[in-house]
Amino acid sequence: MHGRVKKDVVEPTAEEKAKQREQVRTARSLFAKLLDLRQSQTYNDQALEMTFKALQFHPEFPTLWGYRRELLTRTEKPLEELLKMEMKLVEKALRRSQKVYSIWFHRKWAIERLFQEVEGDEAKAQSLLNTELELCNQLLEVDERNFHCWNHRMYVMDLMRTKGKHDPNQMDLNAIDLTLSTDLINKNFSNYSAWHLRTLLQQPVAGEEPRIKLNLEEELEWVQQGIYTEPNDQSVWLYHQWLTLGSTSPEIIHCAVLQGELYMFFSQACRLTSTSLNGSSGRFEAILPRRRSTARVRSWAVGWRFVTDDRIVQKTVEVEVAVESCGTGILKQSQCTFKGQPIDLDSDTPSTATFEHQLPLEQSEILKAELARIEELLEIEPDCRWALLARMRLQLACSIPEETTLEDFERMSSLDPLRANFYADSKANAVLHRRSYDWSLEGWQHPLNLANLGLKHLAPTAAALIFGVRILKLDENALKDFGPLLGLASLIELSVSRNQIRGDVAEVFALKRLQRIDLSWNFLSVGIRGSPPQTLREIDMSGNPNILDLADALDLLMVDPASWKLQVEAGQCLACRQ
Amino acid sequence: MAGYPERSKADAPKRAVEELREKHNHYLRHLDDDKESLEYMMTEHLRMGGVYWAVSAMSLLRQLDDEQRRDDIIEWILRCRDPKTSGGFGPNVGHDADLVATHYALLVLCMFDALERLPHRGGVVAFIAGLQQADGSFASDAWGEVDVRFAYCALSSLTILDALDQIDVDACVDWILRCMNYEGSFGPVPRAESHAAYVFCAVQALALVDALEAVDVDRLGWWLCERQTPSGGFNGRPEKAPDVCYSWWILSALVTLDRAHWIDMEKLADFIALAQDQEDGGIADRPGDVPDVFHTFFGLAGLSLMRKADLAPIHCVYALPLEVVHRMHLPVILSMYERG
Repeated sequence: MHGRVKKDVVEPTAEEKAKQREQVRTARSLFAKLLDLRQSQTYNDQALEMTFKALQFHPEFPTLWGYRRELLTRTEKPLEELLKMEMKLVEKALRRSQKVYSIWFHRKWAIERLFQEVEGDEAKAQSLLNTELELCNQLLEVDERNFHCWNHRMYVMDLMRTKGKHDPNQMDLNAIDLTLSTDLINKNFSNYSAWHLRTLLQQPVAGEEPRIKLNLEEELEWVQQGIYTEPNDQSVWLYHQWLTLGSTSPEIIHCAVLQGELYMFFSQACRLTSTSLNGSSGRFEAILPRRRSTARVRSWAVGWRFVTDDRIVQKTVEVEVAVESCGTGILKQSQCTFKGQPIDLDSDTPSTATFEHQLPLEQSEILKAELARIEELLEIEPDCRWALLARMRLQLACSIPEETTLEDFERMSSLDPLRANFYADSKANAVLHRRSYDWSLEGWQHPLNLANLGLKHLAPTAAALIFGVRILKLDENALKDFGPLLGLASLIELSVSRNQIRGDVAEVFALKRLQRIDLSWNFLSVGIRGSPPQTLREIDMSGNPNILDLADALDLLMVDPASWKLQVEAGQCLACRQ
Repeated sequence: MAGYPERSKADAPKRAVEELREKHNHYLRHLDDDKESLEYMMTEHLRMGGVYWAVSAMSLLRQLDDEQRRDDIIEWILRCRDPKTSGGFGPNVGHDADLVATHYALLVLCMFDALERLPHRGGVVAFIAGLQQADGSFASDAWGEVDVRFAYCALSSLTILDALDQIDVDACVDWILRCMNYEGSFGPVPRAESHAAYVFCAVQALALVDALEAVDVDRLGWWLCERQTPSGGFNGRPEKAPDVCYSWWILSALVTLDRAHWIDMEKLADFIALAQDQEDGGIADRPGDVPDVFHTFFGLAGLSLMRKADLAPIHCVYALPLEVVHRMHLPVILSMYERG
């Protein structure tokens, strides 16, 4: 009951009401008869006629459409003619109700059958598809955002493309799509459905090449026109973001050796299918364990560890990885190769390699030019939060973290107070990024201080960039769980005091090199039996309201109290190995 | 914001749900008073959904106390089982079984603590499992209509029935991930434009089987929080009008992704409050419109998630009152949220 304004609703007169009751009685008895016939599996022309009548009155009745499909497949009449009639019936229904799943589905079913019927007759098939496309265009005139219609159109275009594979006279379907998109956008820049179609055309489908290659410069120029007309239109900016930063494939952002084991991190969560290291095959394991033991699905992860019996001793390695990642409409398969020297995390040499994200020169030039254009826009439209957001993202992509201005976040927040917390979190992440970068200039042995940044989450990719860190301070943030911290196998000291971490203390025992951990003032519990790493010397659990008795807690954690000194005075809950 | 008129902020001033509690309750209790009306007849094919929305809305208002009605509904649901299938439910008596109606039927039985009254549960499982397609997706019924709604209904139903091992979960997850677009968001089928209601289905389906790792939470969370319009209400796609139903679809997805703080809850609650029918109870799609049971549930569910009214808490993945999830010992999906 969308969009019925209450004050416009007129109470029907007694006469109208009586008429409606009569209608209801007639329709009900027709529907009841049909449902009975359906149950008794009656298939005859009379029933077909009755469903026609019933659906004309009530085209939103899925069971009746289903019955009709059964009747149509069982009749002895020539199907082609019947189906053509059917298209008329559905068209009428569609013009009445454009947002009913069962009508659209029936249409799809009818086309599919009709298409089978006319197989071999190219002219007929083509005319059928043309009619269908024309109907879509007409319905998009009525509602340019009707997603049922858009999805139906996509289905029809796919049918045409499949058919076109064997037809040299096939019209240029990509051009039809592109023209529609351009026309609709020129009519209304806010039509995100039309922008979406535009992105689809430029993305590979199922391993093929993209259907259309548009000139990026020209495209950006055109988008710029839209932005200048309506600087706060979300659709244009979303497309802008896709054009500049959208079509990424997973890349290796960090490859390192820690205690003879190879670790690899990617720019997005992915699945590694087959792998080889130095020519011999092996397998990668997702670094983070699953949260729930009931899981039945394969892992997706940013960080992966190569599982092998041998320690890696060579300076240079050659890794070949088959990567599966999410793309629009597909799970993309790609190949990533790392050939060279992984970062040696056991040495103390500083390395900023993980932060020197290399864009292809051409793309980098385009992004920088675009940045300049955004700056120009901001001079005229200083209050355009979308431009500020674009600037921030472009700067990040061009690897110029030192240039991002933190004031921008406050500015966006005051321009767009609805999402103030989004900007606050983004700012925290920007500071984290910069601190991590500065730290990487100093070397692994130095502590990384990320305390008091207001962090609510640690993104897996942010954790990936600091993999190798030995001493990490994250106190006084607002973390709610350990999350990707548990994948930082390099950690020797971790302090997460005064966060809001819930979960079990034993979770941190996944960090096998850990010596000291400060878990004080969180909401942790002790319940799971753990096996603490041999290296562990100090564990501070003070101020966790669920941990009342330190000796009991240690017992549960399988820590032998005999060799540990407990400090429980003055609210402390600290254990040190003697 | 182009493209839609900002309706007058209703003529009446905003009133809290508490004040209208009795009116909402009254509205929900009298939904099927006039069974001879045109409107009632024209929505017969949606009845199972209607029953779920009404029963859960009443349960959120803590008004689910009519024993007679409970028994009547349970009996009616059992009569909606489609004998032509192995055990699926239709949306009404005599209608064809489909996956959405089957899921709703199970949810209502759960709320009434009556799942044990369902004979031959294996038949329901077989019906659902039989709808999985070769590519991992789920169809609505034997005719083969496919979209991500059905994947969510299947995974949720089979979790409740403890029968996930009867389907290929991996293939289903892969298919759902194919519905992801470049914004990190999801459409109804692969390559279709992203739409917030389908984001709900995709995110909760992935959450049910612990497969959210493939989702870029920050990217998707941002797309979702950009759905909040200056009115406080959410739209379902860029540059569309706000609608109360997204208060549930989007907010529950944001809770699952732990990004609910990225929106302005105060303003969202105001938008829902304004969409209430001050005279006759119920909540509409937006301020000033005629209320319906669908939006009444979604409005209350949104408020319940935000703890903005004295309502029973709702589980954002199962779409059941939290208390029901606990009573049934359903698998814990979001430990942080469920522990409160």
